[in-house]
Amino acid sequence: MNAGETKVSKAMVEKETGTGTETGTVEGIVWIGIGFIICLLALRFDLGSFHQPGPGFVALLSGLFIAAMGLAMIIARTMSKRRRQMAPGTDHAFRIGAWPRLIYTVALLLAYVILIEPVGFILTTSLLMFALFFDLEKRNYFWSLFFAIATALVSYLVFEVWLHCQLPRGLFPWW
Amino acid sequence: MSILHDLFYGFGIALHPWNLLSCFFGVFIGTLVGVLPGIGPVGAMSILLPITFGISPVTSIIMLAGIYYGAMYGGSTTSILVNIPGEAASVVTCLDGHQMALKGRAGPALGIAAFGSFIAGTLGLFGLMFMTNTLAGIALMFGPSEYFSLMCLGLSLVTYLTQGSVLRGLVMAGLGLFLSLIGQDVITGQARFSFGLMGLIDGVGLVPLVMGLFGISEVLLNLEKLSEKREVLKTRFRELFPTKKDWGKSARPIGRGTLIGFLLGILPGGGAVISSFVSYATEKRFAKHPEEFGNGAIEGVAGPESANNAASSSGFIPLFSLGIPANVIMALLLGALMIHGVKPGPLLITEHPEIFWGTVASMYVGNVMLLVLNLPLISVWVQILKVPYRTLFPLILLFCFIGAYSISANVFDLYVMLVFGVLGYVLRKLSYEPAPMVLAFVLGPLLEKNLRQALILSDGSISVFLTRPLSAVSLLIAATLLLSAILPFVQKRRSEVIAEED
Repeated sequence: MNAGETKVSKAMVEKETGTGTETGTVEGIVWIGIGFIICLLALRFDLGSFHQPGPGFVALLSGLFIAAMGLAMIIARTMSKRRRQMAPGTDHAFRIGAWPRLIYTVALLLAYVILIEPVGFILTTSLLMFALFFDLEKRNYFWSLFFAIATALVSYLVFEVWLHCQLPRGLFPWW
Repeated sequence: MSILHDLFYGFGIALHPWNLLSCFFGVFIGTLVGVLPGIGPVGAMSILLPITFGISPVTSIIMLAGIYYGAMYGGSTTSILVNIPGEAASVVTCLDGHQMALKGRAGPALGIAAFGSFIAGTLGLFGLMFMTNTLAGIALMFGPSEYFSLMCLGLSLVTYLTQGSVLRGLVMAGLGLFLSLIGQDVITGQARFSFGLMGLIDGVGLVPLVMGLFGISEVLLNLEKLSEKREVLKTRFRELFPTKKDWGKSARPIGRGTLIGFLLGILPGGGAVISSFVSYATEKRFAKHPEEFGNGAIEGVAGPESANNAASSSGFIPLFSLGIPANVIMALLLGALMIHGVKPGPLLITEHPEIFWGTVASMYVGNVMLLVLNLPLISVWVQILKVPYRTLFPLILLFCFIGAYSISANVFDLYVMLVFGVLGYVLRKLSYEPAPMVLAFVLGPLLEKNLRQALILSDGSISVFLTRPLSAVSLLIAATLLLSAILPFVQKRRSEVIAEED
């Protein structure tokens, strides 16, 4: 459960305690597909027998299980009389307002993962922190840069120097 | 007398300066992540897991356990002062705790939460000491079929008790099981499902997976709420002590909360969150004036806060006695122990008494530390609460990256974490809970090993799972739970029960 920045109301708590079978046909089909793929992958290994189960045995069972659950979702959806209320919540799931910041953050994280080894921890982390601290609304370059460099240096001192974690050195092998 | 002797032995370990420091660090970080919305104990434990590699198993478990029960204490502060749950087990505390704060009674609410937590946490430890020993003795008689069935029961309970659809929870468990099979086969050593990637030959790492699912995805979810402002209500240390009347109202809820939390905490999948909700519902039912609930009833704070702390103590019982984690946090502790070459299970207490008794004794010490941390230092936590999330989230992301990278200095783990971060975000948006997936991922190798061993030993007879009494009962309960959750009329009845609680 996301225990983040959410104001709590009675209704919300009740919603959290509820366990419904709100399932949809589309997600059922998706899970049947995923289960089917897992079964195909499992068949590439020796399944063995009940006397001597092989490396693919449990994988096949997990694939069949996922596919069976997908099928159960479709059946539950079909049997449900409350179709309107049973939509899997996708209508509120991906609000447009969150997309720019989400894509911006994920792209930064991906760039960080790609660059951290060739460029090194301190420089990449400073750049990442600057980009994350930089507030798109307030646009304060100086403080963002200051906090970014300070964060990178302090984390380097704590993790590399004090705790002896091996952080990538990249362009600066003497660090 | 033997237990008392062992407990003294445990205190000898827990009071070692290095372990004391580790305990303090754990409960401090636990309180911090409990206070701060946006990062929970699971995220904090996975971030700090790599740090524990260089220290002894007992010191690392003391620290990680401290984060867990420390978060239970800290979570109430945010719930009461801001009406935002610091962590999931404190969601229900918002209802009456914040109402009390709005009426100028934040002090007694915080006070009773801290004292109730202390009492329940300490009483829970007594149960932990006695039950683990007993259960470990019984567990020595278990064979692979019993272990397999117990793990199935654990997964079923997690799925049943988790928020949202049971079918979705089951799908998550199936997916977690498959992910756990990536890497070398536990019996033949053959590499499976690695798709030619060197990084997958040893399997998907627990830490990158958990950090992605709980750390990164949590941050991504919270990005949508960056502009929300927190209004923190003020309180002072001298206002924290509950009055005689408050104690009179809270004594029984604390007792009931302790019992409920302890019993639900033992059950696989139970844990702190469920017990706090059950305790709240129970108090409302027992109350002379149920109409006061939701408007600042101190019983609504005392019961759930006691319950979640008692559950955090008893949650260790299945891990230490059976080697089966009851929830995701225990799964992380299992992972931490296994990284250190320690196999939790019935032989843990005899083979590694220092880990069990050292951890138990440290929890007594930690509970005292938490009382000191949470009451006199309340103003410090209030100041920390004022730090905006836009400043915190870059740091959380950075710690996740450092934590995942420092395990094996392999950038592949960062890719894994990022993939699971985005996957976790999408799944949580679609109301899929990641907890069953993580628990199945941790239990997967054990589940597979025991299933295959049971079949080999029984010469391929599936009936072995039904002819052994404990195995049969476990599977029967698991099947009943899952079927009952899926059947439409039970579903309807459950909705009615929730409506009645209104």
